[in-house]
Amino acid sequence: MAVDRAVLTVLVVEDDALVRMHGIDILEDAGFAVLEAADADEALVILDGLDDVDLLFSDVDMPGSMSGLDLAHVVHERWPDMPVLLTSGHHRICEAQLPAEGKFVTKPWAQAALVKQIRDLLHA
Amino acid sequence: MSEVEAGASAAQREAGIDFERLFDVAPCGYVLAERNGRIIRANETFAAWTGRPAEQLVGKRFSDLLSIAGKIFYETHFAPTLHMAGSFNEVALDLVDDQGAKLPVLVNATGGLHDGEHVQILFAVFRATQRRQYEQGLLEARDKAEATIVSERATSELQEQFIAVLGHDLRNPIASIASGIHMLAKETISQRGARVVELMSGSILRANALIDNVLDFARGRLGGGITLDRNAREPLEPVLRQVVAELQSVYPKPTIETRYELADPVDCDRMRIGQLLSNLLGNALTHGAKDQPIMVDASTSRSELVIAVSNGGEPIPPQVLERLFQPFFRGDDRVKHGLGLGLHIAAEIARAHEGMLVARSDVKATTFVFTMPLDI
Repeated sequence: MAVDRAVLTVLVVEDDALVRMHGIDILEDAGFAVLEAADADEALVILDGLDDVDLLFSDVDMPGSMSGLDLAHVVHERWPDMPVLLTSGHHRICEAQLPAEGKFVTKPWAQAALVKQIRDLLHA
Repeated sequence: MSEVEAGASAAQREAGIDFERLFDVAPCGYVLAERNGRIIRANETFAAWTGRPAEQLVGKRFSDLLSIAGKIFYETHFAPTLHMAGSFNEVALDLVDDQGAKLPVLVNATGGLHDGEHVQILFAVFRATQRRQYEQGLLEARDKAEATIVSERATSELQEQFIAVLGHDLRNPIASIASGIHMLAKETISQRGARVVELMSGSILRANALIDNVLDFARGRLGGGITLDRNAREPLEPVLRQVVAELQSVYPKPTIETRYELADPVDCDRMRIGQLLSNLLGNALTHGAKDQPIMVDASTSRSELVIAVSNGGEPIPPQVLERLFQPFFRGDDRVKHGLGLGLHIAAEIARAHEGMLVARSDVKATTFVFTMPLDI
């Protein structure tokens, strides 16, 4: 289970470079190891190559073959234990649309609340 | 001589009035007909309208003098109603003269059935050329107005869709800038630079609130309404505290004093309630006196959630107070910030939660109170 590792790894998926940097910043400050991808395709390449990503944190609207919501469902099918946190400034995704182990947070992020939400998902 | 004519002659002899002459030159047409519509006598006025001498009309059916549509109407509506009800009034018909020209007229008629016996029909016919033109004009004006409404509605929908798309697209670059500002703030920076970053944060906050309000408004106008994502598990207080903290950092004066007595949980859409508070507080900070503190009071009782925001300053006059929650209403004629949507959106959020937003204002304070029922 993820909690055994000392440092937990979060994969941040976001197409806007500044927003992605910001997300990485917040998570590194909170003590997480962070990997990054600019869209769902890049994210899946990373996930296929490694097996120690503990949580997926992804934007919903992204260019490429699928949205963050599609990515969440694909990830849940292939890695059912991986929690997913989706985020968006445009859409409000409700629980019914998310896969199990999935949560949603709106942008703009409240830093403390975001970190708490990720920690809660990892330790659930 | 018919009964009518005999009676007329007796009265004529009595009063010395030439009733026959009156009949002929009346300012309307008079036509006396058999029950089956065949004309017994028509007055001169009527005859002149038909372009024929009165004697020529005797024996013709009344309906023969009408247009084709009139003939049909006579058979299907006029005659049956006359015979059943004994009268039929204000019938718009077209007479056709001997040249084939149409004359619009209005017809009243009595007769048909009396004590079970069929009696003669008396038609009174009035020219209606001007009336008909007037009616035509009204119908045309109405059709034009309806067409204008349809076209304007289409234009307005297009504009509202444009606003929705614009607001939507603006979010991305603004979110990007907000992230950039956050990271700049962490760089080694001069005191002046830090101040600049702080001010930029404030501007972005205001821009976001503006876009939120505009998008909510556009969505509402396009039929979407304020959608809620209710959650009874997460606490409301942290959201309210953050709204207060953010706004106080943008507007350091006046101070915002708070009182929270919220028993968790509150079943509501926390983001929306936060938006409501943000709009009310932004309003208080912009319009309230800068030297008097703003009070924010949020509490729950057994049955309701109450959030009240008070500011000092000039009281709002009653005629402004009652229009405050209308969209784009901006109060007095001094230059004020904002589109005038904040209070309207706040009221819509209140409504979506089955609650209410009311405002009161006097020399002591202006207070906005949001109440929402709590389902037990």
